[in-house]
Amino acid sequence: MVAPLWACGADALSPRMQYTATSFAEPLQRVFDDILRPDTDVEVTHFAESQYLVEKVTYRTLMADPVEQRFYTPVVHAVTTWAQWVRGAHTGSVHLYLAYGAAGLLIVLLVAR
Amino acid sequence: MSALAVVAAALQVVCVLAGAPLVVGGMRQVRARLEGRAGGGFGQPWRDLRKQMRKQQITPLGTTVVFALAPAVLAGSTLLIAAIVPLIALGSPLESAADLFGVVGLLFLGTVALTLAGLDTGTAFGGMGSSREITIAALVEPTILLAVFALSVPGESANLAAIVSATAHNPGQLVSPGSLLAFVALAIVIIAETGRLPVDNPSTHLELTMIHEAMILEYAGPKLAMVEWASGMRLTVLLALVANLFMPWGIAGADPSLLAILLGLAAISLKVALLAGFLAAGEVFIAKLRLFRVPELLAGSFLLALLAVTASYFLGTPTS
Repeated sequence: MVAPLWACGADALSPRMQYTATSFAEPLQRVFDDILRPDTDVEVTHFAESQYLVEKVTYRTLMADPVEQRFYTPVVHAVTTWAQWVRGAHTGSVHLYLAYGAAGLLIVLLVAR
Repeated sequence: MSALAVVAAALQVVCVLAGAPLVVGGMRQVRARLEGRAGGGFGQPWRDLRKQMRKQQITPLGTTVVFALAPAVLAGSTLLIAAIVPLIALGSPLESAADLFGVVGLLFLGTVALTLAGLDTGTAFGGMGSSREITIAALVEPTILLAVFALSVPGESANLAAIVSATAHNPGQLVSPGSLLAFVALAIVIIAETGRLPVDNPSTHLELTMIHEAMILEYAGPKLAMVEWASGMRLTVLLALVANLFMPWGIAGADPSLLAILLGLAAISLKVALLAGFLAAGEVFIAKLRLFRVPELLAGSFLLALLAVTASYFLGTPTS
């Protein structure tokens, strides 16, 4: 037998009432608040008549990944800078490569002497 | 491995199946008496199960196979734990699988199955319960693993039978700081994992305060009976496991006689009854914690487990 879901007596459940990924993870996010540092904005607009009557609530939360921001980004940035510098050393000029070879040979001879 | 060892392993499963509702009923009865009520008696959970089993099977609208299978996964994983852990005798035929890490994994398999079932219903309550349950599970898991690690240091093995027999041969290590700290950490974790006070109130009827109950809100009839039975078995198995890890006396050896098996059965029944009685009596005096205070309790138990590991490494008595 198929029966409707329990909705606390109020019928017509809609998909908008479901738990989303954000709401599912919210308790754990709250536990690790100090590390994750979510950026949450709650704006409450009141009616002009009384501040106890709420007209609209806007909730916005933004979470940046702290590992990405504080670990990956600096490392990637450093590697990219270094790679750019190395790139300048091989521009496709055969003369330059021959000079590198000659300089290398010279250094090896000097060290091995 | 003798035929009697197989008998002992089978007896473990049967006793957990039959005894779990009695453990739950006993805990409710102790609580009721301490609160000045008459109580429903030890057999009430069994009568409830019989009533539920006779009811019609109901499928909530829009649920899928995930919802339908979760009770079976929960019950199956719990029964598997009951079969492999040393409760009555040490030499179970599945003993090599009785790794503490494996047992923890099986435990979480059941938790995750129920969590997915709660999400599968698509209701707000199901999602809420699943979200809370997984939050607690995520905080409990590191503690269990650390406590297990602390316990496996003296026996030099994570195999349950090895830990139990090492403790039985060397009872002095029970009063070592590492062992005591691990006991407290494991006790807190088991209370959280089985949804007892002060983490979750198993007898609540208010959806907003539920954790475990919110996930299984949509179950009715035989499936509800299965989930409740499995929850009872989980509690029983975990209590029995803690009893044997920290009070290993009376357990039958690897090659048991019939008398030793009966003695082991009596010993484990007594130990579980004692622990369940203490747990139920303790619950009378405490109220449920606020959900966002629970992480503090679990962080405390994590700290104890960490200290237990440190203590068993640095203060451990050499066992050779």
